[in-house]
Amino acid sequence: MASSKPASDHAAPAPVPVPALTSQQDTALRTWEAENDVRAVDDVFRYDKQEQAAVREAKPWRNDPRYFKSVRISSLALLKMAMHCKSGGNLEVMGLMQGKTVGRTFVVLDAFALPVEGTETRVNAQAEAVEYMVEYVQAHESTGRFEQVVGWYHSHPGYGCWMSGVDCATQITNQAFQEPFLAVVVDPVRTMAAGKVEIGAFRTYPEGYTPPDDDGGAYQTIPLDKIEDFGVHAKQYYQLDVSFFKSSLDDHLLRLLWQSYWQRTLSSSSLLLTSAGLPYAVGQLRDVAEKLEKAESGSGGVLQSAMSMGVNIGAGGFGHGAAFGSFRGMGAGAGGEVPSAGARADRLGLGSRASAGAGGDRERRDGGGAGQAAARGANNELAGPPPNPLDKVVRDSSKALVEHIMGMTAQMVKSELFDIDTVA
Amino acid sequence: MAPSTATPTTTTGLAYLLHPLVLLHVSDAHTRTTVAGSSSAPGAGAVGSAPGASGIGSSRVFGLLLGSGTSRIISLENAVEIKLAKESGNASAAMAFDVPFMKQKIELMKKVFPKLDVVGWYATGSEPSKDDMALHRCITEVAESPVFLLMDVDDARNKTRSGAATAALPVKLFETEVHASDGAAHFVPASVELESSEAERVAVDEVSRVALSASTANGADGAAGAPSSSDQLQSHLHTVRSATSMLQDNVEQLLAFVRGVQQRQGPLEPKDHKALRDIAAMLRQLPASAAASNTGDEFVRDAEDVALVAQLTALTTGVARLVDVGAKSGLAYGALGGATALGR
Repeated sequence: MASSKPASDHAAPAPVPVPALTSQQDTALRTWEAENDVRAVDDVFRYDKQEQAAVREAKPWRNDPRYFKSVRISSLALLKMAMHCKSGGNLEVMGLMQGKTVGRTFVVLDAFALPVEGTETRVNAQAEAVEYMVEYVQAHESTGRFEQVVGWYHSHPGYGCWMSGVDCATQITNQAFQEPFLAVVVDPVRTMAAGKVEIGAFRTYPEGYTPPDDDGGAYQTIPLDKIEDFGVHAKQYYQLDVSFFKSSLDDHLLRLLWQSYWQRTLSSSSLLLTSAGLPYAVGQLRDVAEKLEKAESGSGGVLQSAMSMGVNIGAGGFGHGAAFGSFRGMGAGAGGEVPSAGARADRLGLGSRASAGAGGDRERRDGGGAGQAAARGANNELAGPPPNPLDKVVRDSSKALVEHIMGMTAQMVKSELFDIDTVA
Repeated sequence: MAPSTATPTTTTGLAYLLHPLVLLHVSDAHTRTTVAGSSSAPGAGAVGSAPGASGIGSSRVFGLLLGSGTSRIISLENAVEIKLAKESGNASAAMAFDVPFMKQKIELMKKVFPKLDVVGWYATGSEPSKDDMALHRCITEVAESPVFLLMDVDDARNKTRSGAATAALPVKLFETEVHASDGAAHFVPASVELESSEAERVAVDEVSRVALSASTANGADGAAGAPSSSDQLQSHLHTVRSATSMLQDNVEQLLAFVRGVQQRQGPLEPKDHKALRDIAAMLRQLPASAAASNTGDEFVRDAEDVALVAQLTALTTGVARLVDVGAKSGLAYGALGGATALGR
């Protein structure tokens, strides 16, 4: 049994959609699952040295640049990565992942941090990091764990999970010499804001390979000042599906944990509605405003007129929003709560003035409306509707909205539950 | 919450905060040891015997606890695995850790997490044994007055299986104390509370939602990689809902208790004045704590902010759709014009 691949030796149980642990039946169901399935579940933690060595020898990924399709990350590795990335603050940090490969799937069992000083926008493993890695892995092996390093992770605080040029170069080198190798990016800031771990897993294509034009991975919200870097390298890699797994014992513990953990869910407040999250929230809105502007100046002809109307409303409105934010910032500064809030308010004020100005500017130029746009569009080519440049902006702003709404609902629930005076 | 009443307080009076990462670390170490053990034994794994009761738990796992602390509060934040010294466990030698290895691990850890210090060690098991005291002495070589965390893994499985609603975590924390009577050190239980950082909470929430499944590849649901924003909202609401129902359960329990006291039902006599005072204190806090979180107009302002963002998003979306319509009707109009021109 140990020699055959774990993927094949247990028929996958019927995938029961399991919602969060709420009702009694649910608990019962999960208990039943855990009891009947425990060996199969924990089997993923087994590391078979010979099998993995054989896989490394066979190199099944050699001829297929998209051989690996998905990643499974253990609860421990996820927690370690999330916390390490968060501890880096606004600096990028990095570390390595240990695990194995099963067919076309990476299985990440553990992760450890590397002593690499991240600069603001890039991470690079240096010689000392390599030394550290060797020492760590040896120590790890001597405790009877033989998982190989199967990848690296690093953080992108606040600007989403994708691969920059430096990341791609690093990953290409790693894939050339250390296969199988995986790159994972975690965004700790968005993790906080969204209340879910923002994580992406990537592999690069070999040089000279042109990927099929299917616009593969999920759409990512990328701030405008990073978008050039993103655009240049976006075709050099593809994204893998990320899922998480836990051991049966983890499951037991987590359920016991929930008994005292629910209080925290209620007592925490969303990042977006605290003074610490203000720069992120305002930055998010400003980014949308800038993208609107860019969408307008970038699109020629057909959509120009209708766009300008839309952008006008949008940019004017968002300028308003940013100004609103800066008021809040200044209020906090005056209250003496946050020493740096005053400076922040200055910066935000600038930003809001800039975008409000842009909005006003366009107001003057805007003579037409949607009808005129349609009329003008009629004179244009029949090549089929061009991609709507606003679509991406819409997606970005919906994302921001969802994060805001999540924060607000939590706040309102709290107010309903505890605030006797306002309810009555 | 509940366990603190049951455990006796210690002489040091230190408060210990336990992070979930430590729990998962121990769990991971245990699971891997168990799985590795069963694969080496011939024929193991084929028999579907009851989990937890069988060979599981035969081999203990050990590790160092890392943490940081102010004068009175010590938080247990992380853990690293360590190993026993080679000759350890033989009949002749006492149980001992591999101290040079331990020091190497600590040095490695210090390079990445300079703020963390060794504060103790962990092991799996139900009660501290004599060997544990020997091991504990090893730890004193690398840490001052270390603590000892014991996790009962079988207990964890049994508790959730029996569905005990308010079961405590199956961990025990011990400090050591030298008794004057025999001059030897003894383990003394200490109380421990749960604590987590923001990032940790999010990650734990995430993992809790993951269904326990044995399928190693999920090629079927390829769309799972990109959850839509409404999924995100849904799962958030789900978490809030279950937290709220948990709160309700707890409040109902308190209510039942108070009613019971009012109606003077048997086992609740004599009155537990301390509990009643606690409830009263909590009730008086209620409006105050809510007022603190919504000082002045901040709540209203936040709500306005969010409403504004919502409106702008709706507007942008509307405009984007308008542009779509414009482009499409332009196209249709153009095609129509071309056709009529041809027809003439």
